Amino acid sequence: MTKEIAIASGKGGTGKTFIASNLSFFLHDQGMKVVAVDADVEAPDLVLALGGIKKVIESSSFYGSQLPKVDYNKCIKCWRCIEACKFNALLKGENGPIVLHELCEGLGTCAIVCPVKAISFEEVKTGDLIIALSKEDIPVVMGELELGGENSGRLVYELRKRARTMQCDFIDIDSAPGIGCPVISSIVGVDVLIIVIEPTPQSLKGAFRLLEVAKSLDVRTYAILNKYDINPSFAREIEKSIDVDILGRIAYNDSVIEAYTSMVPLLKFKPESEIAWELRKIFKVILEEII
Amino acid sequence: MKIISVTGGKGGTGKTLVATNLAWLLSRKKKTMLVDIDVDNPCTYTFFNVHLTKTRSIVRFKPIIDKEKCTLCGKCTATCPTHALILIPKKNDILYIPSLCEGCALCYYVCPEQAILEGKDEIGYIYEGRKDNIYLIVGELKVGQRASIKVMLETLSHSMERAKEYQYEYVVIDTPPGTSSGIYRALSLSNKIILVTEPTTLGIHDLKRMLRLLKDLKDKEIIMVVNKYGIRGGAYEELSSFIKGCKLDNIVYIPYDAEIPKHYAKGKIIVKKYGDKLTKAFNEILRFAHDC
Repeated sequence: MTKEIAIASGKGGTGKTFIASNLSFFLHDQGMKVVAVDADVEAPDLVLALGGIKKVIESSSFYGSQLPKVDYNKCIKCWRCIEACKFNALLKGENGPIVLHELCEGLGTCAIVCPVKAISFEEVKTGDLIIALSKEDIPVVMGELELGGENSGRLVYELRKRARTMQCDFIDIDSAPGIGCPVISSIVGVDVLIIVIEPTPQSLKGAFRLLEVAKSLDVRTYAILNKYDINPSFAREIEKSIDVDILGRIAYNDSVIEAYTSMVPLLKFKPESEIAWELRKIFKVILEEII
Repeated sequence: MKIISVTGGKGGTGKTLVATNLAWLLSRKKKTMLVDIDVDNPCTYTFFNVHLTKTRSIVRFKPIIDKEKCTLCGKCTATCPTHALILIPKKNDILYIPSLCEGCALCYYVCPEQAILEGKDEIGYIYEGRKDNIYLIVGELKVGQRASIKVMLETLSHSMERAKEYQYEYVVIDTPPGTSSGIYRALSLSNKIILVTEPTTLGIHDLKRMLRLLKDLKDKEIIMVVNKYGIRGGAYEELSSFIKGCKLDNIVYIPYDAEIPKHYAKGKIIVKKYGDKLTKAFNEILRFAHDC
C-alpha cells in the first residue's frame, strides 16, 4: 500500500521544501520507491532541492477551468447573467456582457440563467502537469499554475491522482504555504501530515490555524520544530502550548543554505552534520513507528 | 494617494518585515494605511500594539433546501459543478457538503420548484484598527474555508474605498507568497511594487516567476530588495547573473544579521532598534516610496 505524507506550514519560509526534499532523499536512500509531489503550484521548487531536472518524463496541459463565451448576436441584453453571477465577473458592455477573466470561477451560472442561450462554456488551460526525474533519481510530479491563476486546489488534486498511478511505497507532498484551497487539497486524506514550525509568533499562529484545518479533515498530524535555536525560549513555549507530537528539533545552520546553493539535499551534502543526524532520527521515527 | 505593494514569490523572504517597517517609517510624516492580504495567515498586526475591530464578515451564497417544496427531482445535484449536492434516493434526501461548495448559486437557478433558498456562509473577515498614524486593515480567511482569493479581493476593494474616504497618502499592501490572481489584483492597483527576495536558489527561482507575472503590468515602478544579504552559503553567483539579466536597476540590500530575526521574532519593528545598521537600506526603500 502506498503511503502519503504531506509537509505543510501555515506560514511561508519555515522549511517545508527543506524537510520534504530530505525526507524523499532519505526514503529513496533506504531503498524505498518514492514519488515526490510539489503541490506549491505558485512557487514550485522542490525539484531544485533534489538536484534539478535530469529528464522530463511527461508534460501535459491542465484544463482546470472553463470560461464563458458570449454570442453577441443572440444576446438580448436582459442582464440576467450579471444578476446571477456571484463573483461579479460580468460587466455591462455595449453588445452584451463582458467577462472579467480574473474574477470568473467558470462554474456556469450565467449560461444556465441566459434565456436565449447566448452563453456557452469552453475549457481553458490553467496550468501544466510535469513529471520529471530529479538528479537524485527521485521522480517529482509538479504543477505549474498559469501566472495570476486560480483553482490551484484542482491542479494539486490532479498531481496527487497522477502520483498514485505511479506504483510506489511513498508519496511525499510538499504543500503550498497557508491554509486555503491548495493546502486543503494537499493534506486531505494523507496518512500523515507534518507541520513545520519555526520559533516565531507568526509561524506558531499559522501552525494553530493549520492544525484546526487538519483536525476538521481528520488527518493524523505531527510537527517538526525547525531553526529552533533562533529563539530557544520561544521554541520551548511552543512545545508547551501546542497540542501535537513534536518529532524533533532542527537547528539553524549555514549548511542548509549552502546545500540549496549546491542543489544537493543536506543529507547528502553534509551527511555527518548535526542537522543531518537529527533529520535521520526524525525520518526513522516516521518510517518505523508512524507509518 | 500612492499605493505600494510588497511581494516576491517565495515565503519567508521578508515581505512582512519590509511592509511593516516601511509603513511605520512613512507614518511618521504621512497618513499611512497598511493592508494585509496574506489572508491565510495575516501577521502584520502582531508588529503593532494595536486593537483590531472586526468590521465586516465576508460571505458567499449557500443553498438552503426547503424540504417541503423539494420533489427530489435531482436537477440541482446533476448540475452542481463541484458535486456539493448529492441525491440520496433511499433516504429521500439531498445531502449538502459545504466544503465542496463554491457558492455559485447554480442550484438556486435550476430548481424548478424554487425549493432552494439563498443562505449565507461566512468565509472570512475584515479587521481594522489604528495605531498612531497607521491605519491597519487585515483580511482573514475563516479556518477551514478555501476561498482565500475571494477574501483577498474583498479586502482590497474595502481598503481602496476606505483609503479614498479618509484620504490616505500612502497605502502599503503586504501580500502572501505565490503568484495568484489575488496578488495580481493588488499589483495592478499599485503605483509601486517592492519585490523582496533572498540570496538563495529558491528565492531567486520564485522571483523569476513573479517577474513574468509583472510583464503584463504597465507603468509600474519596481524596486527589488535583497534581504538577508551576506548570509553564508548563499547563491551569490546566481544572484548577480540574475540581476544582470533582469533589467531591474533599482536594487536595495538589507544586510544579514543573526540578531535581526531574533528581534523580529519577538514582534518588534526592527528599524526602531536596528536603525543604524538598516538606515541605508530603509532610507533607499523610503526614497523609492516617496518619489513620484
